[in-house]
Amino acid sequence: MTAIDEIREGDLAAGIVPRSAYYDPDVLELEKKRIFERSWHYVCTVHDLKKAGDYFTVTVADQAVMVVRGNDGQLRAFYNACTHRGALLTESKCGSTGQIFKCMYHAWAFDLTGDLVAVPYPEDYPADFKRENFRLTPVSVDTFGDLVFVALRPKVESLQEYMGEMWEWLLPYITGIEPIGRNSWVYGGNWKLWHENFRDNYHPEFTHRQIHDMTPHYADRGGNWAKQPGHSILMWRAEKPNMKRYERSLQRLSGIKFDMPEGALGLQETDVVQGEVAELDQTVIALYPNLDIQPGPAGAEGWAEKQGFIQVVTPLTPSTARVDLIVYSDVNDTPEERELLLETLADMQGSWGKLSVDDAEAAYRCHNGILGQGHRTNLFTRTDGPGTSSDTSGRTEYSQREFYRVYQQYMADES
Amino acid sequence: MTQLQLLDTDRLQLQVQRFYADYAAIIDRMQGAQWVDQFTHDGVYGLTSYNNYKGQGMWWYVDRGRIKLFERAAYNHGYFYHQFDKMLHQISNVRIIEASDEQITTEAYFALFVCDRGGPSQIHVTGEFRDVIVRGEDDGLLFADHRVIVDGETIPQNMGVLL
Repeated sequence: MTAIDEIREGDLAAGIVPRSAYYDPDVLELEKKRIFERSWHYVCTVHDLKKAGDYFTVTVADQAVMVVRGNDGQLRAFYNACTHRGALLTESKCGSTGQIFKCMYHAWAFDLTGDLVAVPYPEDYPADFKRENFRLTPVSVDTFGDLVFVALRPKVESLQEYMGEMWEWLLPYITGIEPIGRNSWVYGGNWKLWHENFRDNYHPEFTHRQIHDMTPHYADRGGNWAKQPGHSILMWRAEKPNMKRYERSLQRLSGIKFDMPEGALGLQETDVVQGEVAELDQTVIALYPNLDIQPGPAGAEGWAEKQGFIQVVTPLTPSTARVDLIVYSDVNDTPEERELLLETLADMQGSWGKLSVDDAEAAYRCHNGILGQGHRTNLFTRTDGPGTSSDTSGRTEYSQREFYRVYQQYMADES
Repeated sequence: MTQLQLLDTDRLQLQVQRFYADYAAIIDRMQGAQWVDQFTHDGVYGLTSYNNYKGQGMWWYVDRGRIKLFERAAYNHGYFYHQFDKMLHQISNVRIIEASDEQITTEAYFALFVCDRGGPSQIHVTGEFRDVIVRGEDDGLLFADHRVIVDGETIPQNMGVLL
């Protein structure tokens, strides 16, 4: 049985996923065609495209695409390829092109609506050469709150329908936000391993020593919700952090003795009531197929719901992937708030981040273990009952099963 | 510049270069507590990448003060699950931008070579330092503010390292 057969016939919706899905090259090629070409993909925010001529580029299923703001204020998306010989019209991630995209090869020029407006020495072309036959090829584009999405051959034409149950729920979190920084990094593992991680509330107390030490019971009160089609929400109510235990663990595991009074790192609490609730709700959202959004926790001081992270994972090979991290904040930050956030907001995420370093390590180790021919499947069967969600336990796996339910549908769709 | 001034300049250059060489050795030998001692008590350590530095100015993190430096050192010396087998920091192109009795403003380049998971030595990351160095009580040098700007908007996995 091939890896593709295993995906087609396997019980993915029940949480039994064949390991070949993570390393088989034919699977990745089919994912590019049936998932990445058919889904809606995050590109940037509307604040990245403020004025006419501003553009942002993205690669979807190895295909270069750009979104540009027109003179009429509209966003349009096109394949980032000259219709003459295919050269990229821009190799920059983002910028401002003025009124024209001019190809650096033969100077064919396109306006912001995609029309071919200039061709050097047109008299040398045959009489039937018509510029209107060489417009830039458009791509679907739409916005969801402040987020801009594109789709090459969308299986679901409407972005709102594609977002399904997430549309109304997520909209307040992603309206009124703007990027303050970004980075990408490459890790040695399949792209799905990263995205699964953001649907997983079972691992943090083990993978992240900080969570184990500070708030080990974080997931005792939480939720794990599959949101159709293919999306998910994790939520947990955090307990008060045990900073003394955290300090002791830092020193024990590193072998570094802090020559500072105990408690110097944080709260001067002599006793932390185990599991005492801090009235802090943390949420992690995953959107099919490869986008994660983490707003700030509700109730936290100095960190609000409109300050957080957007992460997109893109496959490079079956065994490597790139994560694009966008750190965002509230458009209405005061200068003082923004100054602090520019120094502190990115500390947990990224390939430097106090949490993400170990997430990437987990993905690397999973991928390299999966390559072995021992056990044949991965398991996502945790539940506390029937249905699609849990309101009492964050450690269930409805969210991953929802991803693989829709993944299997897309992979089987030959249209 | 007089001969004496030139001699003073060369001495200062040499002292700063030695400071950076010692700094590299401390990190490479995983001497976390000594790494913290390379900073003043309220020293600052910040990292970012070049695109953020010339953009809105977002830092990956800025650690202010001794306890935060201890915390950072601990993460990179065993609190994270992954550690490189071997590191080799090369610091070069050290330039003194400005020097007074109070402080020395410097810039330098760095390259980090690593051996990872039994593999060969390879370059992991490069970038620049933009620092403010002061004299400690024993006339030795200390970072008052050590800022690291990593090359590239795309960076590798495993950036849980001291730079």
